Amino acid sequence: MSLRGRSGAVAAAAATAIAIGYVDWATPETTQYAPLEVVPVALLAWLLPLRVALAVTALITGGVAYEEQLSGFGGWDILQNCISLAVSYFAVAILIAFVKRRSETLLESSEAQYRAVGDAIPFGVWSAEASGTLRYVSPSFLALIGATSLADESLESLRMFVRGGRTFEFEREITSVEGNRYTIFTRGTPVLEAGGAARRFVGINLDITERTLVERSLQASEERYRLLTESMPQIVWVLSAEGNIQWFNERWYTYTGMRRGDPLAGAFPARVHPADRARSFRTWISSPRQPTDVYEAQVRLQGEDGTYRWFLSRAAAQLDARGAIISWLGTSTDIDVSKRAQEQLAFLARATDALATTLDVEATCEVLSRLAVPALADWCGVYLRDDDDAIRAGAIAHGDPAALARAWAIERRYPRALDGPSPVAQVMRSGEVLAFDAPDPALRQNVAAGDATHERLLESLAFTSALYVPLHSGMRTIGVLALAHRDEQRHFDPADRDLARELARRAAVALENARAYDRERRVADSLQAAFLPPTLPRIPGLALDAVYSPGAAESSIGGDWYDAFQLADGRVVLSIGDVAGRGLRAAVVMGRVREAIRAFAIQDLEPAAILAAVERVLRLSDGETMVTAIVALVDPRRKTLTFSNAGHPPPLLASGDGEVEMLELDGIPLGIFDDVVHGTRTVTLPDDAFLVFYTDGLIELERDVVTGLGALRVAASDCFTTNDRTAAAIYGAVAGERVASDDVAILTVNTQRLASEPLELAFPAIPESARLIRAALEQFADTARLDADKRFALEVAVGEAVTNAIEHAYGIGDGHVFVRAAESEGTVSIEVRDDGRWRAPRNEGRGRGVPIMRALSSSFGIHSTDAGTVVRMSFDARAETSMKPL
Amino acid sequence: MTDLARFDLTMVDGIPIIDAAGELDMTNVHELEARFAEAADLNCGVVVFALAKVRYFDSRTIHAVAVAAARLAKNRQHLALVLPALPSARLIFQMAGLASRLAVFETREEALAFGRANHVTPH
Repeated sequence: MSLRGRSGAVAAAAATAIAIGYVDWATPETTQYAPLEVVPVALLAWLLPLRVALAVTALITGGVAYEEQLSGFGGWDILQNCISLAVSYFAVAILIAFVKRRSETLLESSEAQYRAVGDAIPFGVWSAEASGTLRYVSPSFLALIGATSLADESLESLRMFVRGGRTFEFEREITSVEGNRYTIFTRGTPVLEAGGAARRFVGINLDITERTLVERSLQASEERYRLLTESMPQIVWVLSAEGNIQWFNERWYTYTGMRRGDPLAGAFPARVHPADRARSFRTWISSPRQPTDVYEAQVRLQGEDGTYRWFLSRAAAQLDARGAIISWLGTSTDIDVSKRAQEQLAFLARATDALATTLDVEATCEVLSRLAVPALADWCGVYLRDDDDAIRAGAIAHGDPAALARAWAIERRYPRALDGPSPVAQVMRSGEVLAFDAPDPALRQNVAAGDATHERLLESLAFTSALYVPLHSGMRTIGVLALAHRDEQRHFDPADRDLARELARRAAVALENARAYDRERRVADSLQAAFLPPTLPRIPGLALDAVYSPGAAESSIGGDWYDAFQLADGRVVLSIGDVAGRGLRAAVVMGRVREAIRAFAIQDLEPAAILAAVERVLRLSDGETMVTAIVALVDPRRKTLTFSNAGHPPPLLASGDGEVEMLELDGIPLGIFDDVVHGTRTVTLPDDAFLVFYTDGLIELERDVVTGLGALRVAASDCFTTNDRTAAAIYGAVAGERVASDDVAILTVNTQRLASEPLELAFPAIPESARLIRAALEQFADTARLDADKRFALEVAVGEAVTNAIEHAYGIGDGHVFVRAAESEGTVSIEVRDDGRWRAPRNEGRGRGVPIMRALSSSFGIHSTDAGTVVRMSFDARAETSMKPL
Repeated sequence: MTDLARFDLTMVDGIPIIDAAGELDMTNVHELEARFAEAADLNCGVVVFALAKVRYFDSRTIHAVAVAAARLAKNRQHLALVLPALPSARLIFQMAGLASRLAVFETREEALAFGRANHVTPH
């Protein structure tokens, strides 16, 4: 480059630099244009001529190119171009400066507005230079902290973030002049220049003291909550609104063995015992319910070891402001111990109730065995020690019928000896609990004592663990409760043993009660059987029938009775009654009363006098007993019923077309008041009538006594009209398929005139038989429709023949007299026979018997052989008695 | 006394009267005999034996009555009978010959009237 060229370029460069420097000087910092930005703007605005471009090129290249390309140019040209360039630039610079100034004005206006806003809003705003110098902070913020300016440390923090050049935010605690502590949230945003650099920062300061306190409180609360839930013994769970599990506390993982991170879907339902799934939350949530409903259920959850424990699960919904479910929060509390204790108590309560339902030893054993299986074991045997120290199986229960049959086969085939090696015998001897957690082959072999079949049968029972608990009664072991499992997974843990012991204790009491009752019942049964007449008297024209039905209640035997016997004068004494109370004592009193009635009745006392006498007997022996009773006298000849009633249900009389009359008569039970005068009522019995006496157990079958009496009246009428006139028919009609809980005694009397049936009598040939034969004949005469005189003649004539047989046939020794009577078309035929040898009367002055027989009968014959004597007579019911000379 | 029959010996207007009731047979005839003896020992001239309430009697009773009547007669005493209303009962006494030899009445009052007429003071 030539000198001229270089000078031109220098000049141009100098001019440009001056212009740039001006612009740079003239441009306020607040404008958005940097000094160098002015140059291209100026070039574009002014449309430089090509030469200017060349001059610039010459400046760059040192004037070489310029000289080469513009060789025709002189130094003036260069100067001219430089001046032109400088002027142009200045013009542009002035233009730009104007624009800048305008911008600054606007900016100042904007900042003023910004400050005005900052002054007006209740929170702090600020602005700062990019250098970090704070330019503005709103007075509301300063007022908040009670200062006129920010503290140095605050300024330093702000400066540090501003110098970072990027948007920032931080929280900082400051202390006001008054000493109050505030938490301030600061956020700053850079105002960028065109090049992207931060030119200034504007920001806010927010007082978040309250929010921070709340957040800290929440954090603390959440932490406490977390600690609480994690430390709780309950399982805590959170589910979605749809019921899908979202979170478990640590207890869940500890209990189930799951690990955090394992899939939670389906984790809970899979752990619920199959039998409890109907009560699970999943089932509950799918059922109709209100959002505010609280779920609560007891379900078994499977633990890590595969066993189930009882949990009480509760859950409540978390609702949003509109009441919609956000999630479910639930807990599951382990209640296994209390639940099992509750179940055990319930089991024992059921056991007590069940054991109390019977007073039979065998039934008690059966109940006990069924209680134990499957609640306590797979197999149960109840063994009893009899009075003779023999061991017998009272009951065996087993879930498998085939195994049960094998167990019974063993019991029958291989009875246990008290001094034998069997565990049952051991416990029976020691009175101590014995347990085997595993089968003991040596014991089995010992028990089998070399009998291979026995050992094989024992082995076939496949017991895996066994528990033998003594049944104590006082100091004595009366039996053994034997329990066994067939499942290797099941063992008798301490809780099981305690439960078995408690069950055995209660069962032992029940068994001892049953045994005591059994003893008493046997005695009472014997007594009652002895007191009830084995047969009823057969009285022509008066059909008696009776039923005694022991009550279904096994508490004890009752004190009901009935009785019927014939007096020497032909009347029939009936008695029926009920001794209050049950058991042996009632049976004894019943026997005493019944015998007293008999004793007083044969002294020809009337019913009222009999009751009064029995009352005195009761007072002499036991004044605490109450007895209801009816004593009645039936006169078959006169067809009358005379009776007195001591507080007993009234008898019923059915007759005619089935009308039923209740034969009421007031009376007070025996044993209550002294000197009671009992009334007497006499009823004329129709030729065709049906009397029903009964004890209260019959009418108490219905819901009340009135209804029961109504049912009995209907039954009496039906039995009468259908001619099914028996006590059994009455019981069947009233009770049907039911069994009365109380004892029932029924005594019926049917006065229906029966067709005359042949009378066959056989009595010992002793004087006392004579009157019994006469009594039977009297009834026969009644059915034969003999009038009083013919009846008298018949009795006297037959009595003479019977007396002869008794006095003359046998002498000293056993013998019988036989009487046969039959009636046909008004004629009664009599045959009196003995098997002895006829002997002449010892007294000459006697011997009137044969003439009397002959005189009183219509026909008379006597045939005597070594084999015996037969007297035959007949009596015409229609014939008049004629006075015949002797 | 047995439960089968009763024999009540009482004195009515100084006349012993035996009221029998029930069934008289060989089991209780000895009681009747004892009553007759007691009554005879009273020596009142007449003994009344009332069978109106007797349901049954047999030849032993007839024999006892006959024996008692004979013993009374030896002591110059009379036996008066009150028989049941039954024809057969009267027939039996008639057959035994007692109806014609003894004073037989239908009622107790008639027998007592007879007794009063033949009464003697005991000595």
